Amino acid sequence: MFRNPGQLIIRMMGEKSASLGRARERLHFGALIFLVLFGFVWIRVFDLMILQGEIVARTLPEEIADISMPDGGESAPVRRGNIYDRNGVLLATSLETASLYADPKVVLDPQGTARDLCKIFPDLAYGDLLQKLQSNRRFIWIRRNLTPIEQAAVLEIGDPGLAFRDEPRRIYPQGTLGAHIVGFTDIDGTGVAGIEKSFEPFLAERGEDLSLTLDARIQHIVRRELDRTIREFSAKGGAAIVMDVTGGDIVAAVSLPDFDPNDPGAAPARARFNGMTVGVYELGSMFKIFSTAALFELANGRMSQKFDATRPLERAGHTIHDYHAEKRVLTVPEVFMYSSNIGAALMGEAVGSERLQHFYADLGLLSRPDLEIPEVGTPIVPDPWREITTLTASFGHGISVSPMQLMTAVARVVGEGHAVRPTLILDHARTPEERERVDVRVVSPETVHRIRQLMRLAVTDGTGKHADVPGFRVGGKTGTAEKAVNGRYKHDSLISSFVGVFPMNAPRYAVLVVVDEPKGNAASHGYATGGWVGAPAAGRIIAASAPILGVAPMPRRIHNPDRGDDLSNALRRYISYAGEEGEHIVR
Amino acid sequence: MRDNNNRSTFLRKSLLYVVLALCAAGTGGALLYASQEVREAEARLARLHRATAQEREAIHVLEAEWSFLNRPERLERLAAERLDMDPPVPKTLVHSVASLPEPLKPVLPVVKPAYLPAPRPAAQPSPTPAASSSQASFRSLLNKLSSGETETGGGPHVP
Repeated sequence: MFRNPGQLIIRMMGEKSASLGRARERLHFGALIFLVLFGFVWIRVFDLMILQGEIVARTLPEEIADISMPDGGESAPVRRGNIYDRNGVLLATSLETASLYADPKVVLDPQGTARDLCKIFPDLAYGDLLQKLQSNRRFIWIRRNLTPIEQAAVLEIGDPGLAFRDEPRRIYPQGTLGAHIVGFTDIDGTGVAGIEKSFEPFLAERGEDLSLTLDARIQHIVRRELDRTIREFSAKGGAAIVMDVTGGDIVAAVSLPDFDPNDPGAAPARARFNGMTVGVYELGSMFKIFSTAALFELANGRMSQKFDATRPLERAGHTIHDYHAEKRVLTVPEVFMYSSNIGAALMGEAVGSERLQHFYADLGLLSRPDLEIPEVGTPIVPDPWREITTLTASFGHGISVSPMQLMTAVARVVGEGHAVRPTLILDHARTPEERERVDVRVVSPETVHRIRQLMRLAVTDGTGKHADVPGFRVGGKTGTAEKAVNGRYKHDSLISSFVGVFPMNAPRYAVLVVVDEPKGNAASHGYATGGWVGAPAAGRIIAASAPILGVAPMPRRIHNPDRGDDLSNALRRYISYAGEEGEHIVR
Repeated sequence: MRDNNNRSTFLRKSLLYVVLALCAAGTGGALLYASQEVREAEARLARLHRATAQEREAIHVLEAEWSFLNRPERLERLAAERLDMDPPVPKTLVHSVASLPEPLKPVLPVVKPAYLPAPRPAAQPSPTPAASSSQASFRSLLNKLSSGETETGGGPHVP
């Protein structure tokens, strides 16, 4: 009895309160359940805070970071990779910009909003805009990629139907510099030209950065000097390339007229045309470098070999004239320095059609070259290749190649004689030695040396005098070709060019300048030939860029052609060379 | 006796309930506190992420602007306007380290040769003629320098 006071109390309160007892039981039961549940909570809290405390503290931030990182996760868009020049100068990048769209259903005052928007963007037509804002659609683009100032002005309007969406915009801070190589993207950020197009997966999907072989400083110098030449000679356009002849790196590549890749639509199609790699031209006498090399390489040519240039050459109904006619028998150095078409044609004939074709193919002149941009032109090679083609191709007529191809061929002949490939992508991993190992030899070192001598002679004594820069031992070859219009050569529309190499005793860089339809001026005595147009431009480019490229000039007292240590001196004795009595003359 | 018993039982029971209620309240409070802490920490984290993203975007913009301001064409124009400098020409370039003149030898020897008499006491100043001769040799050195004799390489010797 005493041990059960509850019962006692109930009994004392009366039998009728049995329901009170049931309530108490339920209360006890409820309390028990709460106790058990709180017990679980306590255990869990104890487990988390004390037992696992350390581990949770370590791992949790990472999990949260994974979940809430704004640009983490797989669905988030990858930022398009940047493009840099060889020194890390930014050429192309993507910035987040606000794009303005409207939801016409929510626009409160279409007339007022359209009027205000037209004030901010003067090129928008009020009528079109109003029609759009009054339409039944739920989404219309008004303007993509606003500047922050424009965005602030739109926010000032305060219409709830106007909203922004963040979109990346491709920016080219260097403007026109390297536009034809870097290329550009469309409004949705997809590459449609140049490196932007060919490296689309690399830049867009993987978001990786890319370094080009271009050097913004050299690029600027080349553009400046080419632009100056085009203006001086009232030319239609031009192209210029600077290439590292040892490794094939394209250090600068300019095609004029050019365009601003930030707004490619504003430029005419002609400005977007890449004259360096797409345009193929009959480049004329610069091909004498290759026919002369073929003579040495394949036909046992000698410097003293004589070619009869006394009168125009008649072959298969064609007549080949000399532009700078000497009207006498010429040795190889004379043919080269006076740029005799007759002499070069006779050289080609001496080499033979098949061997000359093979040699040109080895130099990469007959097939579409490989380059890292999609805009690459296919050379125009006569098909079938006749005997007369061998003669004309020896002085660069009847065969059209791109300036980039000619540059590559020159690099192969005067560099180390290896099959150098032009490249636009900077490969930090490969050293020059490694490149050399993978390259194939196409020209023997003896021929390389002779061509170096001849190119130096063409600058010290021949048609390329205007390209010389004291101290840098420039060598080169001029080229002047008449443009073929409707199958006929026009005497007054020329392609004037010059390819220069420096320093000639151990070539590092080659400079090619090609000018489209220059007109002679007073300073050039009315001439518009390669020697008057291309050579001075190449000389100025070399003078300005050599110090930047790290090419040391020769000390002045050594650089003196009369001192006898210049590369071209060994060839001087072949100028007006009497030779031996009864020596064979190629006619 | 029964009353006493009843009271102590009641006290024991209510104490238990009070303790349990306090525990429950304490746990609830602690849970609330922890959950608020977590919410706050997450908000802070999100803010930091946003700030980082903004900062990163700002860096991008500044990089683009830096590149834009460093256009060679602009630098060239500014240099022509503001600096009294000319582009380098081959004549002004140093060809090699060897073509630099040797550094000048000190006019007075730094260490006295062994054959010279030991330094005199400070009380006796060196006689005037010595000073004048060193002055004269300095003059001759100046003359030599201005007449451009340094091109031979090694600096002029001073007796």
